[in-house]
Amino acid sequence: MRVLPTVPSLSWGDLLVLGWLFVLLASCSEAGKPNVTDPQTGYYHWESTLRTDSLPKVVFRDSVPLFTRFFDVVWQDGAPAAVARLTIDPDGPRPPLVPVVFITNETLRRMETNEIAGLATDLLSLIDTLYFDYRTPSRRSLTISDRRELTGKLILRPPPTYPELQIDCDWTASTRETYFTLLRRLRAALPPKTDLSCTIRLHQFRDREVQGIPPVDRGTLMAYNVGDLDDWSTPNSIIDSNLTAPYLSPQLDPYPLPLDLALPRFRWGAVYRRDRLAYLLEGLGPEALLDTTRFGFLAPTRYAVRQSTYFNGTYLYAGDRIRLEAPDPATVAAVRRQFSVVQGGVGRVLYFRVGS
Amino acid sequence: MPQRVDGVCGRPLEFYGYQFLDPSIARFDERFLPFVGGFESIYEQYGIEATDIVQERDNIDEWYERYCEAVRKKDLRAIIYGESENRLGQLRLAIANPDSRLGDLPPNMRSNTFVRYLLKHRCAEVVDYLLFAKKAEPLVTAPRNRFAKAPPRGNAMKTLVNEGLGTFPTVKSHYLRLRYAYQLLRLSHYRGDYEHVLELYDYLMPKIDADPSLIYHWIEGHHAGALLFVGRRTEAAYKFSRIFIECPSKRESAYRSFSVRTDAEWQDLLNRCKNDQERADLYVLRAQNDRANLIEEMASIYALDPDNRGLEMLLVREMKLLEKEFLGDDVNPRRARNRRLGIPRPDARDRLINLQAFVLTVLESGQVARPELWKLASGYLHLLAGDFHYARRAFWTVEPDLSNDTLVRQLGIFRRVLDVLAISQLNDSLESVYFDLLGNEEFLAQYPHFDNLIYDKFRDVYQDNNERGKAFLLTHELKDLRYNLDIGLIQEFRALAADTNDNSFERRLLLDRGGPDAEFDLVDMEATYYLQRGQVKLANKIFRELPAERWNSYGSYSPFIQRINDRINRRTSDTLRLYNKAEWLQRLIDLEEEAELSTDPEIAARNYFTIGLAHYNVSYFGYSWRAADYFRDSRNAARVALGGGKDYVFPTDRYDNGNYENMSMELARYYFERARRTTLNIETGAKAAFYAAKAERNQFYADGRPGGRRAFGYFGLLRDYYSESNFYQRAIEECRTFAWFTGNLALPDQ
Repeated sequence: MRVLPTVPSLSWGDLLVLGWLFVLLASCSEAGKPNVTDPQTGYYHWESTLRTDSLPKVVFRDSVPLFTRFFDVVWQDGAPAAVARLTIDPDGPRPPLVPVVFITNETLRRMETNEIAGLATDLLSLIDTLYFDYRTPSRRSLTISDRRELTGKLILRPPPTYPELQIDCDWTASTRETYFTLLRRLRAALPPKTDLSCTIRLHQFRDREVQGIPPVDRGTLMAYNVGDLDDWSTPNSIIDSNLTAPYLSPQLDPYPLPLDLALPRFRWGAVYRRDRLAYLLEGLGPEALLDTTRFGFLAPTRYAVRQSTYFNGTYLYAGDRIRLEAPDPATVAAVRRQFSVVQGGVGRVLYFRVGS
Repeated sequence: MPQRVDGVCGRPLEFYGYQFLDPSIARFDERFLPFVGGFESIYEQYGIEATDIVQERDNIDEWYERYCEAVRKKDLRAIIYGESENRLGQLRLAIANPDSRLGDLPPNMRSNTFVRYLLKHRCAEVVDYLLFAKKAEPLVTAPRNRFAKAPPRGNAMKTLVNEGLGTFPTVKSHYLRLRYAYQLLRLSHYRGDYEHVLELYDYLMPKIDADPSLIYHWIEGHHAGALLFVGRRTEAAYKFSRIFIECPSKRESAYRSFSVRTDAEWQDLLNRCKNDQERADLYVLRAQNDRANLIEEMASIYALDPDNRGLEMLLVREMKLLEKEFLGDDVNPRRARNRRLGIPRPDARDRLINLQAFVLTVLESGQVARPELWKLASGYLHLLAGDFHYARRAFWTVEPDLSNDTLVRQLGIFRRVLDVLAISQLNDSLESVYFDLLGNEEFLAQYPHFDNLIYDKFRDVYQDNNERGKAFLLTHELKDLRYNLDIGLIQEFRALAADTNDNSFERRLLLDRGGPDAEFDLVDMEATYYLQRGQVKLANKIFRELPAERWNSYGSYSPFIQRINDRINRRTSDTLRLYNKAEWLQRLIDLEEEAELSTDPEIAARNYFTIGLAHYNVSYFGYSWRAADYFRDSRNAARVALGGGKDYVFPTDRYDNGNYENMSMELARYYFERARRTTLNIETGAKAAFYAAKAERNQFYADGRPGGRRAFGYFGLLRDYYSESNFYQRAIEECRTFAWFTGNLALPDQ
C-alpha cells in the first residue's frame, strides 16, 4: 500500500510543497531555464470566487493559462440553468484566463436536439459577459475622466475574445450525440482564433469507439480521481499509476486530437461514516488532526474520530474514520511519464487546481 | 471537476424489501417530512418550488385571516401575486376619489372580492403597500433567463429603501409596518448592505407592535443572514434555529443557512438558548442531516427535553432505516443484491441494539408523553431483531394502551407481519386465509409490500418442505416455465388444473398465475417438452389431448421447406402450406410409417429426408424453431460454441432456471443419413449428404467445438461419392464453405 511521506522533522504540508517544487523543477533544464521541449504548464481554478491577488505566484510566471470555471450548467425546473457563477474580485492582477464551463450529463440527457442551438447561444453570451467583467479594470480605482474614456472605448469595441474555451462534461454513449452537437455549435460560433477544448475522462479515451471523439480542437485527458473513493480500503483515490496504466493499452491508436494532460494538485480528507463516504474535507492534511482528544491515528493517512466534534463546519461523530489523500509527487511524475507516450510531447500539463 | 473517471454501465441495482412502518405514528408537522432521509434528501426530492408554494400559501392564508375571511383566497392571490403595478395604480386612484365606483375599475377587477373590500373601505394604505411591494419584487428576484446576468440594481434598491423609510412612519397599521419592514430589510439584504440591514432592524422593529405573524419570521431570516455575513455567527445560528422550528415556509432556507464551525460556537449557541427545549431543538435541527447519527442526537434531545416532538420523528426515521436493513432479510430472495447495495450496513446490528437500549431507557424513565408509541416501537424492534417471542409479548402488552387509530392500525399490520415471518409449516386453512388476503385490494393498497412478504416467506416454507410447484407459482407466472420446461412441474400442474374438485391454495394459485387457459397451455408445454427430446409420438399423443378446436391456438408452421442457406427470420410465402402441431407431428409419424412399409427405396429415402428436414427446421438452427420452442436468444449460438450453456440451458435475466435452446441435431442427422443410405439415386444421396453436413456442422458448435477443429465428414462424402451429381455443382455455387472445401474458393481456415 502506498502511503504519503511522513518525516517527523518536516510537516506533511512542508513535504507537499517540497514535492511540488520537485515536480515543477523536474520540468526545467539543468540551467534552470525552461526547456523548449517541456510542455507548457497551466492551472485550474475551480472556486466560485476568483481573487487573483491570492493566487500562487507560479500562476503569474511565464503567463501560464488559468483554466477558470465560469459556471456550471445544470438541469433545474425543467430547463438548463447556469449556476455557481464565478464572482470576480474587482481588484487584482489579470493573468491570462481560459473560461471553463461544466455541464452535467443530466442536462444533456434531458435536452432535445433542437434546443442545443439555444443552449450554445446562452452559454457563449454568459461567458462573454463574465469575461468582459474580468478584462475590465476595476472602475472604483479610476478617475471620472478615466471612466468616461473607458466607457467610450468599451462601447465602441467588441467584447474581448478569450484564446480558448473549455467544456467539461462526463458524457456517455447515450448523451454523446447531444453533447457533440453542442460542441459543434460552439465551435461554429467561436472566432477561428479561439480554440475549443474539452475534458476527456480516461474511459472515454480508451473506449473511443463507443464514446466517440469530441469535435473540438484539443482535449484534456484527466488522469486523476481514478480510484474507488467510496471504498475505505482504497489507498489513494486521487492518483494511482497502477490504475492509470491499464488505460494506456499499446494497441490503442494515437488519439485523433492534440491532448493536454490534467494532473492533481489538491488534497482532501475523505470522511467515512458507517462504512460509507460521508464527506470530502477540502484541503485537509495531518497537521489539522493533531488534537488527540478528538482524533486518533490508525495508520499513515488514516485517522479515527474519537469524540464527536465540529470540524470546520462539518459535524463529525465519534467513530467516523478519515483517510487523507494527496497526490504523492513521485506518483504524479510517474503518471506524467506514462502519459507522455500519448501526448506525443506537444501537449500542456494542467494542474488541478489552485485556490483553496 | 466531477469525481469519477470510470464509466459505470449496466442497469442500476435497486433495493428490494418490505416496509410497513407508517411515519404518521409520530406526532408530526406534515411539512417537516424528514422521516427517512432527513431534510437534505427531502429538499432534493421536492425542490425549491415546493418551498415557494408553501411560502405563497402561508402568505395568502395570513392575508385571508387579516380580512376576517371576507374575501376569497384566489382573489387575494390574483392581486398580491398576479396584478400589475399599473392596474393596482388604477385601484389606488379609485380609492383616493370619494366619488369613484366599482364600475370605474377594469372589468376583471370588479368581481374580485379583495378589490371590492379595499375600495369599499377605502384602504389606501394597503394598496400603497402592495404598490411598494410590486416595485420591490423585480429587484429581489432572479432574471427569467437563467443564463442572463442580473443588471446592477443596487441604486434602484437604495432608492426604494429610502422611499420606504419615508413612508414607514406615516403608516398607521402596525401590520403594514411589519410588511414594510420586511420589504426594506429584504432589499438591503439583497443589495449586500448587511450593516444597513442590522441598522434598519434596530430602527424599525421597536416601532412595530403587530399581532403574531409569519412576517416576523421572514424578517428574522434576513436579520440572521446579515448577522452571519458580518461574523456574528452564533447570533445568526440561534435565529435560524428558531425559524427552522417555528416557520415552515422558511424552514428549508433556515436549515441551509444554519452554520456552526467549531465546538466553541456550538457551546455558545447552547448558551444563547432560553431553555432546554430550545437547546433540544438545536439537536433536532442537526439531526436533519441525512448522514446524522440519530441515536446520539436523540439521546441529547431526550436528556434536555424528553417530550420534544422531534424525538418521535427521529425515532420513526431510525426505525425506518432499520426496517429497510432487517425486515424479512432471511426470506428476501434478493438479499444478495441488497448486499451489493450495502444493505444491511456493517454497523446495522449495533444500531439496532443501541436503539433498543435507548427505547428501553425512555420507557423505564417514564418521561415521555406517549409511552405507548415507544412500547410499540420496542415490539417492532424486537421483530426486526428476529426475537418474535418478545415482539409478540410487547404487542400484546401495548394493545390495551392504544386508543389512537393510527397506532392501532400500525399494531395490526405489525402483528400480521410477525405472523407471516413466524410461519414454519403451512396447511390448507392457513394457505386459504392468506390467499384471501392477497385478493383484498384495499388491504394491499394500504400495505403494498405485504404480498411480496407472503410470497417470499411461503416460497421458503414450500422449498423447505419440498413442495416445488407451490414454490414456483409463488414467484412466477406459469408462462415462465416455458423458458426451460420442467416435466415434473408440468405434470403436477396438469393434474392440479384438471381436478375441479380441488379448491386448494395451490390450485387457486395456479389458475391465478396461469390464467383461464392454464390447463391447455400446460398440455402444449408437455408436448413441446417431449418434442424437444425427440419423442415425436409421445408429443403428438399429448398434444392431441387438447380439444381439436384449440390446436390452431398454439401456432401454425411450415417445417418441410428445403433451404440450402440457413436464415432464422424468413418471410414465408402466403401460399405456403401451414401445419398446426398436431398436423405436422402426425405427418412425421405417417412419413416414417410409410417409409418403413414401402418397397420403393426412393419413397423411403424421400420420407426419411423430409423427416430429417423437419427436425432440422424446428431446431434452434432452423427458421421454424418456434414449432418446438418458445424463446430463442441468438447470442446463445456464440455462447455454446465457447462451451457455455450446460445441457443447452443458458442463463437469462428473464427466468432464474435459465433458457433451454433446442440445439440437438442428432435426429436431423440420423434421418438425413438414413435417406442417404436408402436411396439409389445420386441426386437424392448428394442432397441428403449435404444436409447431413449442415447438421454435422451445427452439432460441432452445439457441442462446444470439441477438438477445436470442425469435422467435414459429410462434405468429404459429398466430394468423394457425389461429385457427378447436379446437386454437387449447386452446392458449390450456393455454399461458400463447400466451395472452399472442394478447392473452388479461397476462404480463411474454418
